[in-house]
Amino acid sequence: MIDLHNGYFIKECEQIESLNSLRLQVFNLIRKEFNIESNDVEYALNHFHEYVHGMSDTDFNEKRMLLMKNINENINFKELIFNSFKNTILGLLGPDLLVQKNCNIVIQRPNDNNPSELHRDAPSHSSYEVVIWIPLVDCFKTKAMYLVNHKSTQELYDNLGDSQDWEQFEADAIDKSSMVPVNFGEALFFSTAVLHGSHVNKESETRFSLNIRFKNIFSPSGLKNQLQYFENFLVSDLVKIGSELDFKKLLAQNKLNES
Amino acid sequence: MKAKLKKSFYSCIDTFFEGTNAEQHDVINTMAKKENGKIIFYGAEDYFVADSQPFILPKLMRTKNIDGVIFFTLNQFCYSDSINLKLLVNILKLEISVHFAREAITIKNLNDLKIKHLDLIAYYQAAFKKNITNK
Repeated sequence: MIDLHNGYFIKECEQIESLNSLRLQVFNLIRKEFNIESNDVEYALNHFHEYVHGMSDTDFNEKRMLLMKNINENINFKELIFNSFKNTILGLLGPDLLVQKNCNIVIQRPNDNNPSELHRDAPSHSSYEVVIWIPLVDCFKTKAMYLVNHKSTQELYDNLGDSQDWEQFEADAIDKSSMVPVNFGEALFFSTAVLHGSHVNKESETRFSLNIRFKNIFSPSGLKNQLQYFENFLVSDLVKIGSELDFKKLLAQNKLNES
Repeated sequence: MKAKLKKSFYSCIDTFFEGTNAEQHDVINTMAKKENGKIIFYGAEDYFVADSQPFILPKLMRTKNIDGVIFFTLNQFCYSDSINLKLLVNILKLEISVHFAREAITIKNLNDLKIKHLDLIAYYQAAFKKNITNK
């Protein structure tokens, strides 16, 4: 049984070839989009900010959006991520899986003033989903993310109560949070029910990370439309048989035969 | 030269949707274009029977020369006590296609329904079986 009582855990990759392939393919798209000549993946990603120094925020964002589009259109990221962490995903959610249609890439350059603000994904997202956060470089100290464990997240929301004092809430949450270092070759799994975010990256290296969500097909959805946000990824034989039987009942009720 | 849009669709918006009708029409029109067609008829908006949509089938039976019906969302089949697959089957029996614009789902015939059946029932199970939190 996988221990998720904290609301998050770090897991080492089960098939590093898949993760290496994913990182290399993403890197090749980054090189193309940002005109990076180096082919040293580790170095170029960590020193990415040096290659784009002087680029305007508008140009940078346009290229980032194009990069995201190219990743989603050209890389089989769903299979590669699943193969990298297959047993953990199946252990958490079972064999009937939906996967987020689009993968997100986050780039945090040193001193970037737009870190991910404190938030939790649920109930906008289903509280039965799992988020997989995959760094493409080693992430440590402020280059990493912070998380508030499940128990503390609950307490913070209980205390927020009627006051709705967000500044105090944020200060308390940061106080109770832990920085979670994650290296390339690992992934951070977390529940959508826990608070998380990132500080301004005060390290001298750029952080590149991917994030994606998996969900069991039958578990309660969040506010997002399940069929818009996710797509089928895996269906067990048991569910195929059940669905087939239900379909036959539907035809019989409507006096129809399968053609 | 612009390609001619060949197919004709019937449009059905969701009366329970909290946004504007214009938003729904935009999404439905986009789906019609994607399916190489355009909207030529518009369905009724009766709030009090929107959960079962009893007006659709007779209307579709009376309306000739349409290739399909585009609903704004699959939710329109989920507001009742169970997912309204009976209505879906009855529309398909008229040999017209059914589309859900928001979810980008097209069901052309019963074989298509067989393939997408699991997606539909799982969606209903996941999004509309809220008893665990509402009671």
